[in-house]
Amino acid sequence: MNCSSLRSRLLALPDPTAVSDSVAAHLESCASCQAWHRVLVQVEYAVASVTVPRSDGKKKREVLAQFRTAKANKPKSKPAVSPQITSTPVIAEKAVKKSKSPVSPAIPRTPLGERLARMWPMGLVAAALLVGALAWSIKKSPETAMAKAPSDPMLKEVVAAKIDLDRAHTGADRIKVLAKLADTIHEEARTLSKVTPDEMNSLAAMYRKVVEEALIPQARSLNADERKATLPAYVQRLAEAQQLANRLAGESPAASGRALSEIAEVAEAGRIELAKLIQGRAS
Amino acid sequence: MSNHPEPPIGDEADLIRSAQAGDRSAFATIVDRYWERLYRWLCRLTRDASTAEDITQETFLKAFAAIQRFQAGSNLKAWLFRIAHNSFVNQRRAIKNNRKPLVPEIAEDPKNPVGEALTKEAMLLIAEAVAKLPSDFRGALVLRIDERLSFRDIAEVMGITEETARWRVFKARQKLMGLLSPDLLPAKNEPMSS
Ligand SMILES: [Zn+2]
Repeated sequence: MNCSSLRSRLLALPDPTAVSDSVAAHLESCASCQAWHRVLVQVEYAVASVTVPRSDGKKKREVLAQFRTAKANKPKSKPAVSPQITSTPVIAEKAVKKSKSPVSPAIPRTPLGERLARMWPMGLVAAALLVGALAWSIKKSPETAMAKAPSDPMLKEVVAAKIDLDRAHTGADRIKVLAKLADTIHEEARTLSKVTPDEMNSLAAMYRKVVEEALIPQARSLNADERKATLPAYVQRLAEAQQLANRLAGESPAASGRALSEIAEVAEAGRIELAKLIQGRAS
Repeated sequence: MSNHPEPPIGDEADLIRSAQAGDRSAFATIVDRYWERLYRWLCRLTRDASTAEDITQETFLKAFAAIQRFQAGSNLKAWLFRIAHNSFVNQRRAIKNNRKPLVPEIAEDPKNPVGEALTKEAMLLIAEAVAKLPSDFRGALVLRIDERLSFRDIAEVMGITEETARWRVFKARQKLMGLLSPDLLPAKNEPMSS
């Protein structure tokens, strides 16, 4: 190892004081590198020794007061600062409350698809919030990530869907809402397909949930006349979704492609099931 | 090297779980625990104390808004720093126009394992050189040195690859050494080739 490559190696170490045996051996035998290394270590300590202006602590006290005075577990109002930012947890808390059990954090490193599956029985919004989070939170590029999270369009769609579902009086109305939500997830999958395979997988799982566990059961609840009047439009939409997802799967990296293929399969199975329901061949 | 002892992992997992279940006082504990270190890093990143404080505040409000999304088992510190970094990036242009640059100061009694302490002048020279680094390099270097974040966590915070994180720290050190070596090294020393 010559002096130059040794120094490059030192510069790339997580901690320049923790050197390998071969580096140590060179340092021992080379006074020049030894002096250089000493300066490097001193620079590290000098960097750590820079002080910053002491704050008056006002902002910190404000933030702390906001959380400490609020009644734990039952926040009734949004924190005073920036309603935009704090609107999300209020919705989340409501969703959780409605589901009658708190959202317990998942076991570390459980795949998100599984987490979604576990969340599902607790209510659409709780699960969907997770999807919104996936699509729009910290995985995105720094320029678009957290600052925009509170106005997360996916989140808005999902919350809107929940509100619409509550308002829907008929099965047909509910199908309309759910199909729109499925479309939104599909659309989201399209835009994310080329960048984030993990998020794609979660969206695919969410798509499956909405179609298989919400849309189809709703369709089954319709009587024969309602089915004939309502469902053909959704057969068409699912067919389009299937086609589009298949096409995108071919253009995307392997990991995203698999998730898109899954979406296509779900859309196809949904389409076939709806067609059977129209023809009275399924219960 | 960091002034902040790492909190016990189990304790932190409980705090996060409580905060996610709606316990705001648990979140207040998180705020209390991480405020100073975020503020310190943001000061060094923005070189403006008031902006650093604003972003620190914003970071915790955003973290609160997003706490449900925090994945158990992830690194809370890296997550908070990432939110802070995103806010910094969003405000970078405004910061550049309004900044009243900080004058770097050095702690009175910096610990130095090498034994022979640098002179106050050399320390100030280093502090000024760090302040002059591009913010991406400075941010990565300070996360490594002050916060002892791994290259992987730095990558997570800054939204870059691990290799880029390593490269930024490498380049930051290289720039500092390039600037400082003539002043700090014996004259006979060979210059660092880049
Ligand atoms: Zn040498």
